[in-house]
Amino acid sequence: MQVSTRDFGLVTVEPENIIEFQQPMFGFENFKNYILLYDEEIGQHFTWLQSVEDPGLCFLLADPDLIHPKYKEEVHPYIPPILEAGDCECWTVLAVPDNFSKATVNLKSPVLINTHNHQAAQIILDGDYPIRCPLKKEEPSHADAVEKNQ
Amino acid sequence: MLMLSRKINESLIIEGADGPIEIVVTELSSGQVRFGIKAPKTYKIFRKELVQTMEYNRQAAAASPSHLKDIAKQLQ
Repeated sequence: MQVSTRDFGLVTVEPENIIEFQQPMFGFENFKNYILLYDEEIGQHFTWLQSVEDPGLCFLLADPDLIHPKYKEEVHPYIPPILEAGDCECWTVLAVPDNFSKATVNLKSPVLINTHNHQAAQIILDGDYPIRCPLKKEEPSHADAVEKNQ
Repeated sequence: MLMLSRKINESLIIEGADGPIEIVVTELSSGQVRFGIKAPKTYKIFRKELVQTMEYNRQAAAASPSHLKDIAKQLQ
Protein backbone atom coordinates (compact mmCIF):
# COMPACT_ATOMS: atom_id res chain seq x y z
CA MET A 1 0.00 0.00 0.00
CA GLN A 2 1.04 3.60 -0.49
CA VAL A 3 1.59 5.92 2.48
CA SER A 4 1.97 9.65 2.16
CA THR A 5 4.82 10.82 4.43
CA ARG A 6 6.04 14.14 5.77
CA ASP A 7 9.68 13.79 4.78
CA PHE A 8 9.91 10.97 2.22
CA GLY A 9 7.04 11.68 -0.14
CA LEU A 10 4.88 8.72 -1.12
CA VAL A 11 6.30 5.39 0.06
CA THR A 12 5.22 1.81 -0.52
CA VAL A 13 4.76 -0.37 2.55
CA GLU A 14 3.59 -3.88 3.27
CA PRO A 15 0.43 -3.58 5.42
CA GLU A 16 1.84 -6.20 7.80
CA ASN A 17 4.73 -3.85 8.65
CA ILE A 18 2.43 -1.23 10.10
CA ILE A 19 3.14 -0.69 13.79
CA GLU A 20 0.16 -0.46 16.13
CA PHE A 21 0.45 1.55 19.33
CA GLN A 22 -1.22 -0.08 22.34
CA GLN A 23 -0.38 3.03 24.34
CA PRO A 24 -0.33 5.89 21.79
CA MET A 25 2.16 8.73 21.87
CA PHE A 26 0.95 10.90 24.76
CA GLY A 27 -1.02 13.86 23.47
CA PHE A 28 -1.74 12.01 20.21
CA GLU A 29 -4.21 9.45 21.46
CA ASN A 30 -6.16 9.26 18.18
CA PHE A 31 -3.12 8.12 16.19
CA LYS A 32 -2.35 4.45 16.58
CA ASN A 33 -0.76 3.29 13.34
CA TYR A 34 2.71 4.20 12.16
CA ILE A 35 5.51 2.98 9.94
CA LEU A 36 9.25 3.20 10.59
CA LEU A 37 11.40 4.85 7.96
CA TYR A 38 15.16 5.20 7.76
CA ASP A 39 17.50 7.44 5.81
CA GLU A 40 20.63 5.60 4.62
CA GLU A 41 22.80 8.67 4.94
CA ILE A 42 21.74 9.27 8.51
CA GLY A 43 22.03 5.68 9.62
CA GLN A 44 20.34 3.16 11.85
CA HIS A 45 20.53 5.17 15.06
CA PHE A 46 17.70 7.45 13.94
CA THR A 47 14.32 6.50 12.65
CA TRP A 48 11.23 8.33 11.48
CA LEU A 49 8.01 7.26 13.18
CA GLN A 50 5.52 8.27 10.48
CA SER A 51 1.79 8.23 11.12
CA VAL A 52 -0.21 6.25 8.57
CA GLU A 53 -3.34 8.18 9.54
CA ASP A 54 -1.93 11.72 9.13
CA PRO A 55 0.84 12.41 6.58
CA GLY A 56 1.88 15.52 8.48
CA LEU A 57 2.45 13.67 11.76
CA CYS A 58 5.92 12.29 12.18
CA PHE A 59 8.27 11.85 15.13
CA LEU A 60 12.02 11.51 14.95
CA LEU A 61 13.37 8.79 17.22
CA ALA A 62 16.95 8.37 18.36
CA ASP A 63 18.71 5.30 19.69
CA PRO A 64 19.47 5.93 23.39
CA ASP A 65 22.77 4.02 23.02
CA LEU A 66 24.05 7.28 21.54
CA ILE A 67 24.04 8.97 24.93
CA HIS A 68 23.35 6.49 27.70
CA PRO A 69 24.77 3.00 27.10
CA LYS A 70 22.99 1.40 30.07
CA TYR A 71 19.59 2.96 29.34
CA LYS A 72 18.09 0.03 27.46
CA GLU A 73 19.03 -2.35 30.30
CA GLU A 74 17.40 -0.01 32.80
CA VAL A 75 14.20 0.25 30.76
CA HIS A 76 13.98 -3.50 30.09
CA PRO A 77 12.08 -4.48 33.28
CA TYR A 78 9.39 -1.90 32.48
CA ILE A 79 8.52 -3.13 29.02
CA PRO A 80 4.78 -4.02 29.00
CA PRO A 81 4.17 -7.77 28.51
CA ILE A 82 2.33 -7.30 25.20
CA LEU A 83 5.56 -5.97 23.73
CA GLU A 84 7.57 -9.09 24.64
CA ALA A 85 10.64 -7.59 26.24
CA GLY A 86 13.10 -9.87 24.48
CA ASP A 87 12.24 -8.64 20.98
CA CYS A 88 11.50 -5.06 21.83
CA GLU A 89 13.41 -2.03 20.58
CA CYS A 90 13.81 1.01 22.82
CA TRP A 91 13.83 4.47 21.24
CA THR A 92 13.72 8.03 22.52
CA VAL A 93 11.86 10.97 21.00
CA LEU A 94 14.08 13.62 19.46
CA ALA A 95 13.12 17.29 19.58
CA VAL A 96 15.04 19.47 17.14
CA PRO A 97 14.68 23.22 17.56
CA ASP A 98 15.98 25.64 14.93
CA ASN A 99 19.36 25.59 16.59
CA PHE A 100 20.25 21.94 16.07
CA SER A 101 22.99 21.96 18.69
CA LYS A 102 20.15 22.24 21.20
CA ALA A 103 18.47 19.01 20.06
CA THR A 104 17.26 16.86 22.95
CA VAL A 105 15.98 13.37 23.59
CA ASN A 106 13.34 12.40 26.12
CA LEU A 107 14.75 9.76 28.46
CA LYS A 108 11.75 9.93 30.77
CA SER A 109 9.26 8.67 28.17
CA PRO A 110 10.79 6.07 25.85
CA VAL A 111 9.04 4.59 22.83
CA LEU A 112 9.07 0.80 22.75
CA ILE A 113 8.59 -0.97 19.43
CA ASN A 114 8.43 -4.68 18.75
CA THR A 115 9.12 -5.07 15.04
CA HIS A 116 8.20 -8.77 15.13
CA ASN A 117 4.67 -8.54 16.48
CA HIS A 118 4.29 -4.90 15.34
CA GLN A 119 3.08 -3.67 18.72
CA ALA A 120 4.38 -0.46 20.28
CA ALA A 121 3.84 1.82 23.24
CA GLN A 122 5.17 4.99 24.77
CA ILE A 123 5.76 4.62 28.52
CA ILE A 124 6.73 7.05 31.26
CA LEU A 125 9.45 5.79 33.60
CA ASP A 126 9.21 6.34 37.36
CA GLY A 127 12.93 6.95 37.75
CA ASP A 128 14.64 10.30 37.76
CA TYR A 129 15.31 10.66 34.00
CA PRO A 130 15.40 13.98 32.16
CA ILE A 131 12.60 14.83 29.76
CA ARG A 132 15.06 16.96 27.84
CA CYS A 133 18.51 15.43 27.61
CA PRO A 134 20.92 17.17 25.24
CA LEU A 135 21.84 14.90 22.35
CA LYS A 136 25.27 16.42 22.12
CA LYS A 137 27.12 15.58 25.32
CA GLU A 138 28.80 18.38 27.26
CA GLU A 139 30.75 15.88 29.34
CA PRO A 140 31.54 12.25 28.51
CA SER A 141 29.46 9.26 29.54
CA HIS A 142 27.72 9.52 32.94
CA ALA A 143 23.94 10.05 32.70
CA ASP A 144 23.92 11.87 36.05
CA ALA A 145 25.92 14.68 34.52
CA VAL A 146 23.30 15.64 31.94
CA GLU A 147 21.14 18.72 32.31
CA LYS A 148 17.83 18.36 34.11
CA ASN A 149 16.79 21.96 34.03
CA GLN A 150 13.36 21.48 32.49
CA MET B 1 4.27 28.95 44.98
CA LEU B 2 1.98 28.45 47.98
CA MET B 3 3.46 26.03 50.56
CA LEU B 4 1.14 24.16 52.94
CA SER B 5 1.59 21.20 55.26
CA ARG B 6 -0.99 18.48 55.77
CA LYS B 7 -1.09 15.35 57.90
CA ILE B 8 -2.84 12.13 56.92
CA ASN B 9 -6.57 12.65 56.35
CA GLU B 10 -6.22 16.40 56.21
CA SER B 11 -7.42 18.21 53.08
CA LEU B 12 -6.90 21.21 50.90
CA ILE B 13 -9.70 22.94 49.06
CA ILE B 14 -9.13 24.94 45.91
CA GLU B 15 -12.03 27.15 44.89
CA GLY B 16 -12.31 27.34 41.14
CA ALA B 17 -14.66 28.78 38.56
CA ASP B 18 -16.37 25.39 38.05
CA GLY B 19 -16.58 24.52 41.72
CA PRO B 20 -14.31 23.40 44.56
CA ILE B 21 -11.50 20.89 44.26
CA GLU B 22 -10.70 18.89 47.38
CA ILE B 23 -7.35 17.12 47.82
CA VAL B 24 -6.95 14.80 50.81
CA VAL B 25 -3.82 12.97 51.96
CA THR B 26 -4.86 9.32 52.37
CA GLU B 27 -1.49 7.58 52.82
CA LEU B 28 1.98 8.68 53.70
CA SER B 29 4.81 6.15 53.62
CA SER B 30 8.17 5.20 52.10
CA GLY B 31 8.83 8.59 50.54
CA GLN B 32 5.48 8.63 48.80
CA VAL B 33 2.17 10.36 49.46
CA ARG B 34 -1.19 9.16 48.22
CA PHE B 35 -3.90 11.74 47.46
CA GLY B 36 -7.64 11.49 46.99
CA ILE B 37 -8.99 14.18 44.70
CA LYS B 38 -12.59 15.29 44.35
CA ALA B 39 -13.17 17.74 41.53
CA PRO B 40 -15.88 18.75 39.06
CA LYS B 41 -15.71 16.66 35.88
CA THR B 42 -14.66 19.66 33.85
CA TYR B 43 -11.28 19.64 35.55
CA LYS B 44 -8.66 17.23 34.23
CA ILE B 45 -6.07 15.91 36.62
CA PHE B 46 -2.72 14.64 35.39
CA ARG B 47 0.60 13.52 36.82
CA LYS B 48 3.01 16.29 35.89
CA GLU B 49 5.32 14.04 33.90
CA LEU B 50 2.41 13.12 31.64
CA VAL B 51 1.74 16.78 30.86
CA GLN B 52 5.44 17.33 30.25
CA THR B 53 5.57 14.34 27.92
CA MET B 54 2.55 15.59 25.97
CA GLU B 55 4.16 19.01 25.57
CA TYR B 56 7.43 17.42 24.56
CA ASN B 57 5.77 15.18 21.98
CA ARG B 58 3.96 18.15 20.47
CA GLN B 59 7.18 20.05 20.16
CA ALA B 60 8.98 17.01 18.75
CA ALA B 61 6.27 16.40 16.13
CA ALA B 62 6.97 19.88 14.79
CA ALA B 63 10.66 19.06 14.39
CA SER B 64 12.36 19.93 11.17
CA PRO B 65 14.55 17.13 9.86
CA SER B 66 16.73 19.41 7.77
CA HIS B 67 19.41 19.57 10.45
CA LEU B 68 19.30 15.91 11.28
CA LYS B 69 22.15 15.00 8.97
CA ASP B 70 24.44 17.45 10.75
CA ILE B 71 23.54 16.01 14.14
CA ALA B 72 23.98 12.46 12.93
CA LYS B 73 27.42 13.28 11.53
CA GLN B 74 28.49 14.85 14.80
CA LEU B 75 27.70 11.65 16.59
CA GLN B 76 29.43 9.25 14.21
